[in-house]
Amino acid sequence: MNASGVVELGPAELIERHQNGVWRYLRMLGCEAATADDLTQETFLRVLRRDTFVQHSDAATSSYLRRTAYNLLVSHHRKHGRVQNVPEPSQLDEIWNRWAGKDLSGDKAVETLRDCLSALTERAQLALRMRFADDASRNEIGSALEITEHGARNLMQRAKQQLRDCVEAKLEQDKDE
Amino acid sequence: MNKDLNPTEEHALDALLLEALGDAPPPDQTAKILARCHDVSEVVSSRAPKVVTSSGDRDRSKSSGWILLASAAVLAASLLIAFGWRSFRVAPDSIGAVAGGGKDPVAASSNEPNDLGLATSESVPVQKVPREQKPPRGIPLMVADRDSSNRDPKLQPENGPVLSQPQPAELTLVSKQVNSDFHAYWQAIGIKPSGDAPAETVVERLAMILGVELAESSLDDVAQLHDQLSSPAHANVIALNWLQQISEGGVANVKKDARAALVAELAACFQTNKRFDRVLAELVAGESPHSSTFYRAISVGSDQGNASVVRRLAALTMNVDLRCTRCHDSYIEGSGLQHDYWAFTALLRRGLSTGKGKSDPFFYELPDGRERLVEPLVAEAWINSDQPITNLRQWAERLEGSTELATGVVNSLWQLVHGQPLRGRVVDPISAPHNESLSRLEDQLAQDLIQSEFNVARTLSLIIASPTARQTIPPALLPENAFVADEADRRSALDAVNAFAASMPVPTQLSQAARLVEVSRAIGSHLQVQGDSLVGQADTSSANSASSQKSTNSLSVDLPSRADTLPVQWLGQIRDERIQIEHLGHLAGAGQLSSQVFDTAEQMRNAGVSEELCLQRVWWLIRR
Repeated sequence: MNASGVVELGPAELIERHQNGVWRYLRMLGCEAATADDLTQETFLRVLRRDTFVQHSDAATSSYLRRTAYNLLVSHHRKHGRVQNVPEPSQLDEIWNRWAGKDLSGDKAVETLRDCLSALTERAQLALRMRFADDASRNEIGSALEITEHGARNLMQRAKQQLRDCVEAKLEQDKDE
Repeated sequence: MNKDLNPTEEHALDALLLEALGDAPPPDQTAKILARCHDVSEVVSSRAPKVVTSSGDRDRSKSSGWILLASAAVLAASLLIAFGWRSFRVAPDSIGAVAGGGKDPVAASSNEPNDLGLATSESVPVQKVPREQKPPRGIPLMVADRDSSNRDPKLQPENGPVLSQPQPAELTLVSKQVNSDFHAYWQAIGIKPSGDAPAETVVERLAMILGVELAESSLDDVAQLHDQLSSPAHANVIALNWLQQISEGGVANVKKDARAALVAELAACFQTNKRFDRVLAELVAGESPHSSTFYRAISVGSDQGNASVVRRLAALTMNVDLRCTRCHDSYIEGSGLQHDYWAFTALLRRGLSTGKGKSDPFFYELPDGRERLVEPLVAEAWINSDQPITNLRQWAERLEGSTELATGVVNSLWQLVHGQPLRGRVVDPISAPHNESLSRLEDQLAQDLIQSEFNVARTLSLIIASPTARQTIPPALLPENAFVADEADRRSALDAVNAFAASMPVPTQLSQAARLVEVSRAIGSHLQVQGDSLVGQADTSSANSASSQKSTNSLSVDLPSRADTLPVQWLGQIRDERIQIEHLGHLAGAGQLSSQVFDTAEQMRNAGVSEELCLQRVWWLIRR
């Protein structure tokens, strides 16, 4: 227990508790999976090696880890001279708190998303599956659905809006229960 | 509901959809992280590396990256800085919030300037900046492509708290590794080196650059090279030349005795008697007896107020390029926000000012003309820290042993030898093609510098011993072939030079006035010096046509005579020629350009010179 009366997690517990959240946060910032893996490791290494790090609460620790991950990502881009638009942390934090705020890991959000996907029309589900599971182009998706590329884009946009609303509604409902 | 998704939401949702549909859940890295934490073994990601279609090879190797952070410097008995910063408007009482996080208090605009003045208490020739001058307004920006798939998964470990400092590897081994890496780099980018020049040619070239005569035998013996560079006589000359470079000539305006004392302090580092990072940190923090001389040297320049200090200091100490962000956010390399620039400026101001006004709130002008409050701060992204740095001393302490400082110093030493930094900027006309190999080289040299306790003579010897320092000048760039070389050959030769695979002839050493004359002669105009002015007149008489033809034949060999590309492609985004030229001025670090430069450009356009050639010549006119 630390000076604030909080029972601190050991290193292994800390990692198990928060690594999914850090990884998903990095993915939301646009990292490829491999980069997210590496930066997640670096985030925890930095924090665990820091003598002054204190675990005030789960939420505070999660926020601290995400901020460290963000800085590492920006530095990573700068180091490699890449042109990248990284969202402002405040914007993404607001979205993160909406979707993953409760469990800090985003596990619930992903589970809810899977439920909401099944509520979409079959065409919308097919389009999204082709895009995200098969990495199909809009042209290919349009051909499969017998619509134009533009039509495929609009279909997926509408589907994503519906998913967003569905996920937020369900998470809000769970929060109230 | 169905409100449109904003881009950030869409990004976030896409990431979750990839996981939900692509069955790519977050991996359990507990064991790996714990292993690295205990330094049991180095592990890499369990995912298969994705093939990158760029010219670099993807290499997952990681360097050890342990850094020792020095403790705080001892305060000097008195702060000797006579470096005045002009006062700024006091914020109205109603403004209380600190700028940042989207909540920007924007003050009502007033007639007071927000630029920094420059004043010294001694009679050092320094440009005075009128208070009315403000930073230029913003211009259309190039915005990064959000969907860019140019993502490099290679990760180099960043700074971290130090547990222990490893010893540097044996110098010869490091030198061999650098040599091998450079050959790999050239192969990766498809550039063939021009070939080794004779030792005597290399020695002569280095003598012109560094001001020291090195033994020919030392070119093949990096240890001998190190011994020569760290000898007292050589160290003094090299330190002066290095200071000349980082101050862009400003050190010449400092009083002789003070200059000699500062050079001796830096020379002690080249002699390996002192740690370079510690000396620099003390200079920067104002805790060295030579701090005022140092700041005086780096503040001299043609641009407004203390912009020179901010730009040069950021480049040296953090390897950050601030040429663009004085006036607007920089998106070309994602390297900074205007707010970060001014926050750093405010930090320097508050740390270095004496007397009244140093704690006054600080405002800067946004591209749209509004003014914004800023608090002193070093951007976290610049120093890779999650702890805010809000004062000068804290920042200087942070620099000691840091990767940022090491990288900045490596690039400055590289530029001393090669005329351009190792890893340049995308905004620059001349920069080596960037890929992972080049990044790795830069990291390797930076880490070696850190591990050697900032032994700059060692780093300089590695640079000189590398194959880049001994390449020949390609035939297409030889002065005697200036007017006969094929354009394709010339371009290919310049590509090799940019990649350090070939050498350039010694550039023209002309003053800007002389260059203006050259450019005017090239279009058949004739400039005369009348008093302090250059007076131009169109040369239309046939009697003079023979002489003007003769003049053309004796023009400087590196004056561009043909061009089908702009000096930098992003200039094409700017429609207004005057603004294009202003941007070249900022790129050259020249700040505000004289009216003669603009007039000469107009004369060229009136003479039918193409936009590309006109701007190439303007670049030749103003670059250092």
